[in-house]
Amino acid sequence: MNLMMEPMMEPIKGQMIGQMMGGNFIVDIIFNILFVTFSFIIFFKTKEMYELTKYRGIKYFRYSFLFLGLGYLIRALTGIFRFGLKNIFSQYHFPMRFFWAFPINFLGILAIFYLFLSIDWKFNYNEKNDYLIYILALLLSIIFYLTKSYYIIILFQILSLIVVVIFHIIKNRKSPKKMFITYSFLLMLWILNLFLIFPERIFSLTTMIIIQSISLIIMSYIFIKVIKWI
Amino acid sequence: MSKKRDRLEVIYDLLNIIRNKNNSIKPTPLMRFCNLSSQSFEEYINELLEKKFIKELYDENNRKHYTLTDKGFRFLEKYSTIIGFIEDFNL
Repeated sequence: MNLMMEPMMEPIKGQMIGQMMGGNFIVDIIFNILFVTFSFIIFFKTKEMYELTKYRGIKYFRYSFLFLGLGYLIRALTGIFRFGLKNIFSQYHFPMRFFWAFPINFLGILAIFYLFLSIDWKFNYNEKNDYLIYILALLLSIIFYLTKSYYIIILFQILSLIVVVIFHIIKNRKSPKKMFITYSFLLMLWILNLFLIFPERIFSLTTMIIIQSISLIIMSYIFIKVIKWI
Repeated sequence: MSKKRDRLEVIYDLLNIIRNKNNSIKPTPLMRFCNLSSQSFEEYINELLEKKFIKELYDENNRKHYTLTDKGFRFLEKYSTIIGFIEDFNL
């Protein structure tokens, strides 16, 4: 019975997988386009405020959305090119992970540090140390590249988030900042979103849509808050 | 209130005084009105000149006056928005 069914089931199964991949792909692209658009609008629309004041909080806030936007842009391009270019890259032994995972890891770490710096920079943080964050992000990205494990990216992003969250909690015990929870969720969802571009599919389409919808809701909340002032 | 907030407030006060004095004021009354020490006043004025918020003009008696640039007017116009934004995002 099974042997009889197998050849008949194959095209149906293939079609279903194709539809699922197509659904995944479309949802992912729409999500990414919206996220990148919101991030870049925040970055460019706050330019004048920063130009006028050179206020460090605004600088770090803008940079975090620039890096987050670039991270999601590369993530979107990965989705578009991945399947089409996979054969070309493998043919020439070009390391795919270098093409997308390296910059995503680098930009993600910068976004995490800068978003929390925007609310915590007043705690004896010297602007001259900004380059240390870039060096740290670069080092972690190089380590990732050498280890050849996608899960290292997640580990580094989680560790970075834990560090900034602990620092924030210690420094703001008496009066926690109201944006702390929003930023923590936004960055947690950024990390969860990274699972969606791994070679192995970890989440179902439904889970993916839920994760991306919550990410978009939080991003929209921040975006509307910014738009109110510009 | 943070040090930086104070700094933005001082800049706002300086520019606002210049605007309210028909956009032309000499250094001595400006320093008196903004209530700063001479050293702080010097630092702020240098910063405002450097950022092109104000410019120096000399009258027929070669006395120095400060006047706002377009950028200075723009700062005054946007000040309350910027402060609101900074507070809203805990920056």
